[in-house]
Amino acid sequence: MSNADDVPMMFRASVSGRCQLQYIDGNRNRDTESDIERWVSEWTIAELPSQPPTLSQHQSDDTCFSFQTIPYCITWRFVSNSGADPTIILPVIGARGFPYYPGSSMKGAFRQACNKIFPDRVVYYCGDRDSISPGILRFHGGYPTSNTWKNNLIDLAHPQQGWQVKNLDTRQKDGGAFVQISLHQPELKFGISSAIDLIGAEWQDIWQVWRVALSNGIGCRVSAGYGKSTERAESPLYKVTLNGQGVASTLLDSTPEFRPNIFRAALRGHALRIFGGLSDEDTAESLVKQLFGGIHNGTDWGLLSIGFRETKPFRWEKYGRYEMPYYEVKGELSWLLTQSVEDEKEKALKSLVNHLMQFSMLLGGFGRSWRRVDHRKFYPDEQYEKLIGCHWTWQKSLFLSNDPDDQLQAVGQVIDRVLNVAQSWMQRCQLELVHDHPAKWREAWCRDRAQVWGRVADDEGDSLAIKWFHQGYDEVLRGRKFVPTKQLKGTAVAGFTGNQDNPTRIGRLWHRMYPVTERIVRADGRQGFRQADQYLELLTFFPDTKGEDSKQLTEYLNRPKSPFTRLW
Amino acid sequence: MYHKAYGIIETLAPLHVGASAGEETGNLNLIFRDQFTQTGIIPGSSIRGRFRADMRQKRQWWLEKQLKEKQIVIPNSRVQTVEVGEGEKKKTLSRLEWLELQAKEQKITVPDLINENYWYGHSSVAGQTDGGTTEALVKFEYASLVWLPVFCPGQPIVWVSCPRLLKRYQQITDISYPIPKPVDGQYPVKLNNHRNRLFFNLGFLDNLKSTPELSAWVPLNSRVKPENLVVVDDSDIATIHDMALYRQTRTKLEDGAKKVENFFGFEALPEDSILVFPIAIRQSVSKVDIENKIAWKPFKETTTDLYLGGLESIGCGRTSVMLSGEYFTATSGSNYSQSQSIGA
Repeated sequence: MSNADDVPMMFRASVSGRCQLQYIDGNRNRDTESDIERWVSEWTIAELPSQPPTLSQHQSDDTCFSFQTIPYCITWRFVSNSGADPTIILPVIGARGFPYYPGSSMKGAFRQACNKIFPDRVVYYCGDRDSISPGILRFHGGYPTSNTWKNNLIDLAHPQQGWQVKNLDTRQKDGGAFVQISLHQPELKFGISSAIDLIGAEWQDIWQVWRVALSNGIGCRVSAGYGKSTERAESPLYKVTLNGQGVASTLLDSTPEFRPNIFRAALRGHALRIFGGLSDEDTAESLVKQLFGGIHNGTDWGLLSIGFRETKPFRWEKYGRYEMPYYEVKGELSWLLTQSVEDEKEKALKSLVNHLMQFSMLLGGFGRSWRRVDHRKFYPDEQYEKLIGCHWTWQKSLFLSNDPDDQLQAVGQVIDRVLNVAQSWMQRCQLELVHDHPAKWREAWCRDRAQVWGRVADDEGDSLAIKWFHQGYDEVLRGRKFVPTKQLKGTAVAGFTGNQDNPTRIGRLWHRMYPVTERIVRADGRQGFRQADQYLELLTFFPDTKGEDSKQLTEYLNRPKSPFTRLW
Repeated sequence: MYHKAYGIIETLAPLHVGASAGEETGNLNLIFRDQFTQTGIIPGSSIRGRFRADMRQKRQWWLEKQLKEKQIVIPNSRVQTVEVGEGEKKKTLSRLEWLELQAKEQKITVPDLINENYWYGHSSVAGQTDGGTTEALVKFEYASLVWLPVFCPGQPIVWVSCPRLLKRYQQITDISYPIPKPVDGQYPVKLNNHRNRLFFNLGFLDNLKSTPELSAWVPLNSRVKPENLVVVDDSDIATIHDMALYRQTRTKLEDGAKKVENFFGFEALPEDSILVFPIAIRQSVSKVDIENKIAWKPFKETTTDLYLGGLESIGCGRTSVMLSGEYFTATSGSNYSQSQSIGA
């Protein structure tokens, strides 16, 4: 009798039909578990004790050493790759099957942070390789403090850089989903002990070093926001509070999740578009790799990493007939330098990040459905119960004037400033601008490929383009009614969700309702901002020179009576 | 000739005694194994080294305390070496050597109770006959596994042993029960919730035979308290042991960039393993502290936390060690704590 099917997934061969953790069948129905789901459920239903090993305090009276533990929360996800399975990133599994942050990783992160704040104590705390002398500290790693680590373990990432920015034909989508196992918002209890007796003040210093390590991020993928604690970073390169709402991303089991790596993906994509407009493909790629890191053609450690601290926690509700998840979140986004660079370069980088953030906020959103405005907010059709789009705001103004029309006219200058800063960054990197041979990508940001159109909308019900997407545009009077004569819905310009025979396409239009913000002087004399009723309705258009739909829209926008003005 | 005693080691963190990273960079750094069962051991020399180092530290603290009382200025605790002498006589002493020198000048004599050279044999001294070494009064033998925890998805943690390992435990602890062993392919188990099969990576154990008496083989006062026990054949323990070991890939990152410079893996006995080692104590040593005959008393209590093996700075090697046996029990626990205690 063969009992091969009873063998746990952890011990199966990584072949089709036995255990392929990376493979997720897109056409599976909800009743069939994918291999990764089965792997996780086998791991988590094991009869674990209710409390994980606690890194229990030293119990004996002998004062041979002192032992301290402190729990810290991780803001989003955390993973430290065990290397146990070459096909997939899995956490290190420690005693009794609990996920575990190894002491070796902890020591490495501590040493790095200690180098920053107490460089003269690194050898004392962590030992010296040259003289092979041990340090006084032992790093015991970290265990989750409760069994909530079992929730939301399956972590899906969809690398979309090629699809979103480069591919001329978006029916072709490469990559697909990659899966890994990471812990979702765990509280981890970390242990440090000392081989000699230490006074309280010394312990405070030691834990201060550890907090710095935590604010830099622990485990892997920290540049994308993994492994960051709620401890604030001391001096981020850039910091801003953002409000977001819209349709939420979901996990494999349809649980909504807010994924802070969307900010990194957005800026990375925009950087690629902008550098791709200023230079050729290879130059643009290498610039982006230098900023955000990458592993193709040699490994590069990116200069930038993000952290996101929710100040109003991610909340979601089911909306409409399709019960789609609608979220709201508020938080502090920070961009951090991963390594020290000379002051001038840091200043330039600060400016680059600041301008890329302006570009992102002005023209689009973040995360799922970022090219569209939040339909729940801007599409006042009561019959319409589907969720599309997102809406992001901040307490900042990109413009000097409070007048909406002036602001609209200044949009082009904002974009030009972003391009200037990107050019200076390239010159700093001693790279040449190649204006005549931009990257051959769909969304390379150059004059003959990207257009920005805009108008002032009086209030949130006054979005014109959103109606174009649903009902069509270029209305003519037929009888007593204005009837649209051209359609956007389902065209290559608008994009659509497809199926196997007619694959999904990304459209060529970004639609944004950027809130008009007024500068005000508060009663206490400090400068503040107030959101006005109006919005700048902005369309970013990458026309396809060969496509009929693109031609039609271009012609319409260019008409003298067009409601939109070309801004860039 | 000897008093008999033994120690029970319960691992509170992964325990690695074996090859170090420096020796086998790029490979899996293996732990030492017993040649018959191929299961992890801790050599007697490692255990003795730890006891010696522990007591040496106690001696150092005692010296610092005594010198402070005599108003001698002692360098702060971060200073590990001290320079003495002038000109050609100038030399660098370790902190302990410096303390010893000061103590000699002050005519302070270290009591035998906390002198590691007295209990564990004098370390060699240059220029003396036989290197100045002496025979140890306390001798250690290697520690072998008694129970090894195995995690497998979908089933409770089970602690596994085999007749050969249990036999050594029996010989050391003098327990009088017959050694449990699989008979006719039936495996003795004691499980919290009975189940029909257990998976190990060699396959399934199907023929489980409920054997409540297995509890007798769990050391008394055990901190770990194994809940699910199973005894397998001597020939199977090696494979199960391989599955149970804690294994981790470590990476050395470049100093200036977050790039991997080196990979090296290590294996270790997992947390919650239970091991046993015998101790022999010269008959001349007192069991209790009577006048000039002093008792061997390495810790304040009979149970203490000790670090064994390597990779201590990255959280490995934390164990709870419990001393027991004729030497300790015949005097009853109360005498142990009544005997004079010197130390920090």
